Amino acid sequence: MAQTEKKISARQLFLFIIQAQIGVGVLSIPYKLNETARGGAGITVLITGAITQLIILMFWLLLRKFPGLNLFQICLRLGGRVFGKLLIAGYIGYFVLLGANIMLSAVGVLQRWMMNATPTWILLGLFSIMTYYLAKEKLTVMARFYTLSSALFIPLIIFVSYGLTQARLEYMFPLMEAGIWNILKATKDTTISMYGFEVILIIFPLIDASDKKKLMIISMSNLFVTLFYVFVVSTCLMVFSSEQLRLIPEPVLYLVKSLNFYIVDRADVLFLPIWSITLVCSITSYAYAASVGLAQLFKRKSHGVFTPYVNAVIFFITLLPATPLAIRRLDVSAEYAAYLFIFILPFAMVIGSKLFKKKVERSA
Amino acid sequence: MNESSQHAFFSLEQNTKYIQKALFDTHDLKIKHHPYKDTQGALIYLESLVDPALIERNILAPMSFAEGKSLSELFTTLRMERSNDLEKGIQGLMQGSCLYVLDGDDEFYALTTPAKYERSITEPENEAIVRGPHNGFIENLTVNLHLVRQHIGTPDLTVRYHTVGNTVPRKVAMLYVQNLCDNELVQKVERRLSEISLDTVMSAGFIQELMEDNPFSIFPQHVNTERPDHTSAYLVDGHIALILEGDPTALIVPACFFTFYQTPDDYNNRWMIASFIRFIRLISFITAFQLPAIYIATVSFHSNVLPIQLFFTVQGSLTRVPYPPIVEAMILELIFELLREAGLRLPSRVGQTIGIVGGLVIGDAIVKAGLVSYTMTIVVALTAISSFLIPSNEMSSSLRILRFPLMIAAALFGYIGIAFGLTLLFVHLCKLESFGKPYFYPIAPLKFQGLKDTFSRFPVWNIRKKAQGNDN
Amino acid sequence: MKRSVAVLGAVLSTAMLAGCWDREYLKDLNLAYSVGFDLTKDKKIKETVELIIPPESEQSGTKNEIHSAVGPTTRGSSNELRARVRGNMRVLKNGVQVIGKDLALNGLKPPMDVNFRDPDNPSSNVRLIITDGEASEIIGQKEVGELKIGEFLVQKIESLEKMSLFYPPETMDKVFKALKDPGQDFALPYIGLEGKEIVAKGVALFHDQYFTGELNTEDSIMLVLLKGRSGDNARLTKKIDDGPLRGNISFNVGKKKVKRTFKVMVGKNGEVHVQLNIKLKGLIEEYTGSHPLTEESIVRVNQELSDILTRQARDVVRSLQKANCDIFGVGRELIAYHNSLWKQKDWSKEYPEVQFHTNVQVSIINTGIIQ
Repeated sequence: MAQTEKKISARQLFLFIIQAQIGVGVLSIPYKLNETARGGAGITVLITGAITQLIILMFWLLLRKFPGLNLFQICLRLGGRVFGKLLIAGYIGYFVLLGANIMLSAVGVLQRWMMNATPTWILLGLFSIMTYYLAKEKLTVMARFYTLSSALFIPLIIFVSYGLTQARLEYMFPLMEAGIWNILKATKDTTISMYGFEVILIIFPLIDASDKKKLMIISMSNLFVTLFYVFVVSTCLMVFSSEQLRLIPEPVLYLVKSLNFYIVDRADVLFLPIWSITLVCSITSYAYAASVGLAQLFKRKSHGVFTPYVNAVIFFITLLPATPLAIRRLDVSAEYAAYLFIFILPFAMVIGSKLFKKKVERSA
Repeated sequence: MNESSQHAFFSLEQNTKYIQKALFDTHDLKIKHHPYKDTQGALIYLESLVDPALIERNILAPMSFAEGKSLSELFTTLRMERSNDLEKGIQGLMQGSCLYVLDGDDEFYALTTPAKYERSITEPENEAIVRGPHNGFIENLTVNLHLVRQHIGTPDLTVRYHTVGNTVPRKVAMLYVQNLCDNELVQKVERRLSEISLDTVMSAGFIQELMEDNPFSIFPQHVNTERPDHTSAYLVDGHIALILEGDPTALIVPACFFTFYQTPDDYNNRWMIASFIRFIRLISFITAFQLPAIYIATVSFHSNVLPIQLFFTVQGSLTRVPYPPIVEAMILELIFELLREAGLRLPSRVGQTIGIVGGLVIGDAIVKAGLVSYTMTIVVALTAISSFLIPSNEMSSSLRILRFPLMIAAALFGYIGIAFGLTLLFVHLCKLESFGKPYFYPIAPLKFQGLKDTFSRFPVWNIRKKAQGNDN
Repeated sequence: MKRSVAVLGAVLSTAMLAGCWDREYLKDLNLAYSVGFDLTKDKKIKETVELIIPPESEQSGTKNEIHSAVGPTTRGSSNELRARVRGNMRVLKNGVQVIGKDLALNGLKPPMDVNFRDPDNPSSNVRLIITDGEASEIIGQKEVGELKIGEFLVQKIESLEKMSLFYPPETMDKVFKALKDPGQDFALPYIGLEGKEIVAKGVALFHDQYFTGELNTEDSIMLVLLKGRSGDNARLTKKIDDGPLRGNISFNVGKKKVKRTFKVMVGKNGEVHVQLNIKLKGLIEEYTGSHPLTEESIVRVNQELSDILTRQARDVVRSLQKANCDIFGVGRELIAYHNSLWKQKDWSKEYPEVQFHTNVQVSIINTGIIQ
């Protein structure tokens, strides 16, 4: 299976993973964590970062054993024809589900804060069109776009930093108020916000760097994202008291809303469209991964043919939930799917690959 | 290319008849009988294409003083060919040669005696600069090549001639500097040139369309210039120039987005000033097509962004307008486009009047009548001015067109619409490639060395040679 | 390529045919710049708004209109107002909200809830003012001199902030924060109508969401200084009587930074002690006595002024405790650093028992251009 696509560079990989990871979760993490971890939410995020680092290491071990192959090809090799194809189908379903989940949350936030009269499906359609247009391109083009949109981090960081002017350290203390057990338990809520790195399973062979360098760069991306999340969470914890946080589902946006520059009064109206581009990048990674999977299943060289179908399916999935309860159910199913496909299956595959004993050569 | 050939006849009569028939008895075909050493001979030429002085001096005069020398030694024209293919001879006639046919000989002489009526070398009107050379290309290919070679005196500068056009062939010269240009690129360009299959290639624009990577894209993928110094600068930068015979425009490939924002005369100013000007040009990129969209989105959807004093000012100017801002914007934009097109066609004296009429009368009157608001006029005027900042005409036209879909997106969905439109635009820019080079280099992929020459102009001694390899 | 264009075209045309949903044209908006809330006798909310009418042409200024309506809640009365007013009234650019005394006594949280919930309501710029009497009377003034009532109020508050009557500015955001914080209370500017003029009466002290006490203007300045802040100016006039130094001194302590130490300590039995010291640097602006202010005199003046101000500070703190207004955030300190103790306390009852050790130290650094 020769790769017809060119490779992306190390720098592009760094920004790619960051863009894929930072998604809609960061807006509401302080709220969710406040329930369980209280002041210790920053510690929770750090622990979550460590957990994701371990998962990344596990992925790396698996991928290193099969040089030049991406996840789907590994599935075929380890599982044989039938079971391997089933695995691939499972992963495709997982990617689609997660992509739909992100899109739904994103549109939900947008609706609540900015466009509350626009019908949901219109916003979903806009996002679908954007992700389709980006996901059908080859990886190098996507990497270029991700690099470009990384420039949007600067206004994001500036906005949140401005919030520090209203910060009061005491709101975050005491740190261990919730107790260490709760802090650990709260990592469950954060992990789903840090997903996105699983796309390395698909693009690993397409990176122009040595294996060790790849691991280092991906770890650095993870570190950046973790520190960014810690920064955001801590700032929110310092600006809002715990009781106040209990009422605000999206504290980051509430923080940005209260900022006052001279020429703009409501910075959150500016923040959200900038943010939605980062979200588009996240959703695109999943759509791309699913398309590549389909290309693998149907033995085509380019994934661009399948991208419209993938996006259409994502669109329809997001149309289904109509009530907050249904949305919650989608969230929960995404969470459990993630446990399966990110923890359990790769772990099984690593064990399985160890049984192979010999290192598989780069073959056609 | 005509594959047909016709072997010449031995009889002079038959040859001349054939040629006359082939040219449909056109009246400017002249046949002058001029014997040579007792053999009948005829000089055949198209009087509209030949220079009589050359014929007189290089053909007739030597022939009168023939003293046993052969014809080949007598003719002192620059080029002389012996041929027996009448079709080739006819092609030669088309290029201004004259044929000397001897009775009893099935080979004739084709002698180059073309007339040249040329424009003098003046500065092209659309590309005038403040400081630097003021000459420009003209319609003659040889003169143009002369101008370029004068700038680049190195033997590394290579010229390759190609012909395009099946029915009416025209010569195209491809120039590049050997060691500075990527070999693959040269081959790619040559291949695409040879694949052009058109009957006629009337202007360089035809070549442009047929050689583009993505003809459906709004963005131009070639740079046009009529200036030899610009062409030389691009050549030295590793680009390839294509010049068509009869067209004073040189096409430069490959072209990337930021090439359109640079003019080689940035290097004629000092680096701080040049950096500042380049920076302003890039800001104009933002205002040139996003300003009306942002304004429409703010006023229609997100008025809460405006600080309160501004809010009331804008509201004051909008109250009297009876229709939504998007309609206002469209009306004003259309008026501007009408004015601009009209201004192109008018002779310069009348053009000034149109400027006054358009600006003062229409602009002011339309606001006083309450059809359009002042703020909208300001926005549209600023946008128009920004679009003139772009050095390349092609790029500014592209951006002008882009304004409209973005305005519609803004009118439909506010800031999200703008984000949507911009995302699609930038994905497209990332996707586009000009002859294998990513269009949005050096922003995507990010190469810091390349950035030195993009947003600002670092001093000349600081910019190292650009990496030539394949980029992602 | 062609198919995607067609799909895109179809989507866009349906979108355009259906119309656009969130569109709200700027020119159709009628802004309520200042709003006043009162509690009617039957526990309903009476809302008075100042609507800004856009100008007729570019050059003329804006005008305003005053309207009033009654409803069960804030939004309810706004809806009533919408029935009476031209066009769609929006509160997008609120500048100031005036709250009548009765409503403040009854609790601020219910009426203010809509401000925090609706994203379109601004909260970072909006000033809250408590008025002695009815807010509708204040707003009903419509114009003060050349300024419309909303502009007048905002400018008045801003100038008072500069004079250190209230600092930092109490915006809606801050109030929200304090409403939700069990360890922090707030104070709002307190104005009243005297005859035809709107005057500042000081600050209104709050405990939780209820209006519980007030401080006059001089004490308000002291409160700001005790918080460790000051506006551009903080002018006080005190009478000193120390031997040959006799007279009134007006001095300004706002020009230099206030040095403040604020420490919350917990005693053995769980009593809370608060150490609150401020160091002020002042410039003398006026002295009515005859004795020149030489270097030695300055030392004595410092001592006198420190005593006077310390006494005043202690009075202010006592009023705070009587009103149960934990404006310094002592509770918050406890939550942060002595959490287990906090959980045992009922702060509403315990705050008045806190022992404050207040101390003010004044040092004059400048006597103007004469001694």
